[in-house]
Amino acid sequence: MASANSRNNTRTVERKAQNLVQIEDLRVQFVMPRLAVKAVDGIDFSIRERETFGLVGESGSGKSVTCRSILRLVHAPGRIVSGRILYNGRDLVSMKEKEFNKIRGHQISMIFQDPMTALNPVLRIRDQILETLDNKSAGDGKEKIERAVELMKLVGIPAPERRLREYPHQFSGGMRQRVMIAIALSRSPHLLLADEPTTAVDVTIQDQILKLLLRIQHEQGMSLLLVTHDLGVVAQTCDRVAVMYAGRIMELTDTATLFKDAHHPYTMGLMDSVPSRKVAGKRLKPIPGAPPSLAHVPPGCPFHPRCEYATEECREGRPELRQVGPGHASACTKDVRQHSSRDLEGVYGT
Amino acid sequence: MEPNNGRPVLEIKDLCKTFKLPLGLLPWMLGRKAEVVTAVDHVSLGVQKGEILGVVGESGCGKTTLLRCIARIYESDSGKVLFEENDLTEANPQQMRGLRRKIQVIFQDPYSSLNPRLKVKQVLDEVLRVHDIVPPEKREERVLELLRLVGMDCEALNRLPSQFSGGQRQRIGIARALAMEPSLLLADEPVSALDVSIQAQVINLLVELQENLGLTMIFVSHDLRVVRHISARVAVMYLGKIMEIGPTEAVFANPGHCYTKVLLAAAPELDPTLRTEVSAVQGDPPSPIHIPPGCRFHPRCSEATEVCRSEIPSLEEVELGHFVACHLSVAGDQVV
Amino acid sequence: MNAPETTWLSGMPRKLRSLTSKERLWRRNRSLFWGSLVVAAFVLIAILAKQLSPYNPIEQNWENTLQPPSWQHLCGTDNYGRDVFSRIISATPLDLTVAVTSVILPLIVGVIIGTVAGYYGGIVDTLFMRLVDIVIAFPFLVLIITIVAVLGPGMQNVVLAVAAASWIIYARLVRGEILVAKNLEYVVAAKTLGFSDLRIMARHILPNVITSTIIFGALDVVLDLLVASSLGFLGLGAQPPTPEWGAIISEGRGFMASAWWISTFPGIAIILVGIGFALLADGLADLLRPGQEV
Repeated sequence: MASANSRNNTRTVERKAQNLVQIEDLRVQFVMPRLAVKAVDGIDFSIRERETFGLVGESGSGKSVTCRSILRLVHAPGRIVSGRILYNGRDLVSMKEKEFNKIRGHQISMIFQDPMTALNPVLRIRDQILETLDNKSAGDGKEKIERAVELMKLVGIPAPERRLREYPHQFSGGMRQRVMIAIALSRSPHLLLADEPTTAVDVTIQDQILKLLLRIQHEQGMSLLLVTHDLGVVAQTCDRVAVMYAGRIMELTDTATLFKDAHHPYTMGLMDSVPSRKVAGKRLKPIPGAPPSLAHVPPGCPFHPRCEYATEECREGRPELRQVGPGHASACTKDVRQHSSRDLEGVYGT
Repeated sequence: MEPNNGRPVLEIKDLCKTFKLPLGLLPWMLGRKAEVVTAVDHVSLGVQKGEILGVVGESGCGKTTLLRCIARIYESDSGKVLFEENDLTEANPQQMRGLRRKIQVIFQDPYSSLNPRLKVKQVLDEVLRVHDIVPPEKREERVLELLRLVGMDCEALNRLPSQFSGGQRQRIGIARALAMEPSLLLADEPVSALDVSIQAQVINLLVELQENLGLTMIFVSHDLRVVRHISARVAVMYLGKIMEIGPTEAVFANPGHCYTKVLLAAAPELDPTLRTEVSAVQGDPPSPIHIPPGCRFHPRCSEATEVCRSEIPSLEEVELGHFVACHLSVAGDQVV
Repeated sequence: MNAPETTWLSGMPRKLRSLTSKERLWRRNRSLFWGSLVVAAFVLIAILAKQLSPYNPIEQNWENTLQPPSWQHLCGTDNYGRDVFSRIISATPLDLTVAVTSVILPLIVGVIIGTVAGYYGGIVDTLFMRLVDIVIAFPFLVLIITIVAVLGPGMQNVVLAVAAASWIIYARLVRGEILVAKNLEYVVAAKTLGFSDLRIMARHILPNVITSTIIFGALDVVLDLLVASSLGFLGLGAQPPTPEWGAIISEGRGFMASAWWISTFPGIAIILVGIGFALLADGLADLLRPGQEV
């Protein structure tokens, strides 16, 4: 079928570059007594070395579940039902537990959304960082403390020696987030997963954290997977981005192209709904309806009930990602770019 | 001062609100004083009839407390709130009952702002009934009208809140507020808890309602982009004080206060060509318990001078209708 | 939105799918089903006690004392020749009434006081909490026995004693919930909508807060039943010859070795009622959670 071909094409395009992570046809489901929820329904993408990859979508899009699947953090009643997650060529899904533990926390690390609950309130910061350095290769006690201080400096916490002895409640939200980043970086991972790391903090702190992440990524030569619902964050931080909706990827391309030349009606709709510099005062153009419940995903293209360009054929089959430009894939079978009434200059004018 | 001449319909004068933190027994015995959170510190502003005033700031700036003081959910410590010449701060419960009809609140969390046991029909009907807004025979009709106003249909009548999405619940909350036929709407981060595509729907709805019903609105949000889109005038708050206030376009095109500039720089724009490497501001916001002396923003301000550290700046007009509370912007010259 | 059947697990039994939502509720909520059944059965027995007792429960029969269970006497006879089965049946209305009344009374009083204390706070609440501190300083059973000793034995006084000692517990339970509930946004909203305090307390807070109290009450029935029976056992409850489960058990005390049936069967009755109410409470807990999809 044409869809299988286009799928393979996308994968080949992706494989050409240096791929640190390659996700192939990942499907994650939550199985409960009366229904099965397809949280992630067949997605393919890859993360290259030294790149910041954004996974953007609204609630229920499956972006968080995808992120957690990489580190096998999806627990019952959820499970990865099929697909592969290749890290440096090896499949993480089928890997044995013992081997996987060498990767989780070491080569692939993660930071979470809520800085309040991510840290253990009864342990000093020093102990929480040292915990991750708890093996022979990290050196003896003194070296470990030095490394901890180094990490605190790396994430920009002033007076690190003193602050190491403090408890989480003595830190502000932004500082806690930095500590969490420090812990995640303690083993110098190749890939850092960030699951909505700035959603729960103020905008000035968000700005600091994002710039910090980019700086560290640059210095350490890491790859960064950033999960977010905020297109603005994507615009300011990511190299490439995948737009998710109802458990599938709708569009996959580099950031500049996404904002200049979005192909999928959902992406366009998202951009039209966000108040931005130039559309102040005019009516926003919201997407009618609401994201579907993952237990009752519409057949065919999951976005079709809300799409102004939908036709009969959108209700059937299963639109796959297909190439629509160099390094640009979209799951829409049509090309509605010329029909779009978006004032391109108005949204992001130079 | 505004194109809409005449007295502002809502006037807030020198409003103050503090919260005392509970003191443990031992500290009390040792003679320690209870810590005080200064949520709102001598805030004054006016809102013209039919305008939308946006209040923007980060967490702890006091914008929500300010709103709740206006609505008399909290009792303010001092200061006055005058609405259509009525003094809200001095009103007794009897008078408040009447005044409440004119001032309604839209809350932030759609998941806890509706009584989970009441069907939509009951929610709206109760309001109409208790305040005798329309005669009994007209009530059903009015409920349907209200639903239509917020873009929902009669199918919603017999459902419970749990059967609706966040955006729909917010619409029900708006309908409930409108049932009172208010002239002032206080919106406390009404779209912050919603998905992006739904936010736009509710924002459009609010703008439409405001235009059609001639409502005056105060729109509180931490999201600069939303406030910029919806408000005619905007006030920037920080640690309980207004740092800058003026027409939205003027404030955002020509920010006078360093904090406003910081907020603008930090808000992520949807334009990948506008990236910067340096963060907008260093450091964390101080706690509202220990407010810095002088200009409260000075510890984080890259341009702070001696006077900033010692004297509290007051709001000065830097251009028509545009006020800034910053020692550095009132050099008598043009705002940068 | 239409829900395509294909996304549902076909694991749901075919028969269940065709039932209405109400019927499905009973099937799914087993606790509620069995609990209600048991409690209803006992209520029925209580109502029809006179008709269901084969013999007169207080009539003594000196030729028939201490007979083991048989077809004529399902639970045997006691040392006065009275049919134990009839006594157990006749005790049902008394025990059930006592158990339920000793819950309903303190529940109503406690909820009202707890609501007022929790909602208004301040000095009222402080005074209330100190009162709670005083009352709970006494061990429950000791307090009840003392009250009954003062008022005199008899089931009415038992009910009064239990009510006096337990209203505090309900009040405290409700107060705690109210403290949380009054800060919920929909309660704040009700305030801004200009509703009176009474309306807010009765219409908005209580219905959402009462569920845990009701469930606690259902379990409390079991406890109070045991208390009443204990007091009956101690001779402070129902006076002879009035049949009451605890009293009957007490009467059989001296015959445990020779005529075990006198004490055992009323004990079983108590257990069964207890299980019934416990299941009911469990089922109610599932049922009363608002917004439940059936």
